[in-house]
Amino acid sequence: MIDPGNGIVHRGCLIPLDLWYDVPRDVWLRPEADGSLVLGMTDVAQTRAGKVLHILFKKIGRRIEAGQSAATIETAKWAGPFPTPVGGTVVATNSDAFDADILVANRDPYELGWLIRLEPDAWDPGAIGLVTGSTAIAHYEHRIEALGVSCVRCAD
Amino acid sequence: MTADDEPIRLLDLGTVDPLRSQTIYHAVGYAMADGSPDTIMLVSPDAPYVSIGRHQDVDREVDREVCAELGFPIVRREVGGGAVYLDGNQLFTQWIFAAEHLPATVEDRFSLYCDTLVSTYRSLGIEAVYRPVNDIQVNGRKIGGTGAARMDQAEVVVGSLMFDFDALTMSRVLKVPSEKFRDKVFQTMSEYMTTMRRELGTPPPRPTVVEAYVAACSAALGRTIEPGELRSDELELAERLDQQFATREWLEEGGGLRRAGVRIHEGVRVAEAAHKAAGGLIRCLAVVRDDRLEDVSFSGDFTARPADVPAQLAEALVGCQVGENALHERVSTYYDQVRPETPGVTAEDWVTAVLQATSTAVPA
Repeated sequence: MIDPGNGIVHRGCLIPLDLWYDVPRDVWLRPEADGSLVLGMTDVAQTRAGKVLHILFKKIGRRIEAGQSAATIETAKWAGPFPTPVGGTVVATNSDAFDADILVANRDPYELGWLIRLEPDAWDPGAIGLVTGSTAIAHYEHRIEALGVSCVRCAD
Repeated sequence: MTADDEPIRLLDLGTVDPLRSQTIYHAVGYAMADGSPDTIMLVSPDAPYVSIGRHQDVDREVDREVCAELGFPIVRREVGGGAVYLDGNQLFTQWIFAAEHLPATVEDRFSLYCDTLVSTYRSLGIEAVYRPVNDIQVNGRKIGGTGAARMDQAEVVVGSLMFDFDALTMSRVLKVPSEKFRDKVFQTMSEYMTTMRRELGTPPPRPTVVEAYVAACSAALGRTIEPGELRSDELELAERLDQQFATREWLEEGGGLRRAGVRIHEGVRVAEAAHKAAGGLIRCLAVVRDDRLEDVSFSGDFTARPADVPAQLAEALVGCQVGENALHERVSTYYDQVRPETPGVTAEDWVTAVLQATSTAVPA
């Protein structure tokens, strides 16, 4: 059982309350004290993609436009981008954690398994359709039902 | 999945050059915009080539000299998986769908996609079955390969209907650690892969296969499928991708994903590794089927008396489950019974060699 902590679990999918979400892209964002943003795959995203086999990050210092891919992910059966909802400059990647455990995002998508840290061009989450708190929960419950997906920690 | 009233566009492109046979489904994927139709694309290459997976390192996976000698282009695709030899004996069956029109999980997407291939083969008299996650098999032999990728708004699922397959050429183009390994790959592919030719003697004509496939897709998806044309924006993008995919930079920027061994099908792989024991190097070549050693051989610069210790040990290990305890039990039993002299090489070393060759099993 997943401990919901400060979030909720819907059909096995953990949705922390304190993060921001791009729900259609299944990306979470966490503003840091220094103004940067940490981004990662949601529980729904890691479930849909399956076990990560390889990840290739955009280089530190690289500028990425909103909607562009900040990393390419290959899972056992699928390959695809990790799109950023916010434009900015890559200031860190979690490559060390993925080097040590390639399944880190499958095991722990919201903490140890973060993907990338960006210095955003701007941070106005509401203006670009990001949601948080109870609004995010409502959006995700609807999305999870619409997708018919039940989350599994693919690494377990 | 609510696209029931929208017909699926069928693009039957016949044969195209090798590069275009890859770029065209990327182009349709990346050109997908709101209102674009879901597309099923049928296409074959007009000449042989080699395709590598999105994150593969071409120099580690493919013998570029052999490809150059044979005149085979090497094309890196954005779909994952392993290196594969392709030619006109495969009919690629590419689905380029709006993401929301396919099941949400990769597993469910493959189940739907593979069912249409299975139905097609069955309607042609071949007893194909779906083996999750993404294999199709006939009496334990794999028929074709499948893969999936996201391209902007499109979810893409790719695969093929196999009229015939040239396992010998496939084994020639792969970069392998030894010629013995290459022979084993060829033998194992010959044993564990099949085609319409192998199953039926003579493969059915292409139009018969296409008709069966389109009917199977329509039934499985519950949607109308209508022949259509490529749009000009898709063609223009394909031309741009032709240029991009033909560059050395594109080919070589894979990212270094290593896949241990060569996966023949969902349950069968050929793998090799070397273990440095105090008494010398032990190289182990193994064929693993459903986590059991189907075939294993040892070579190296160790000393062993009697001289046929490696062969006897290999024989003793056939059928053994790939696990430290099971392997150790068999090797120890052999040592107890035969009492071989293997200076600097312990029972543990043989077990380690086998585990190194087999433990890095990576699904493809």
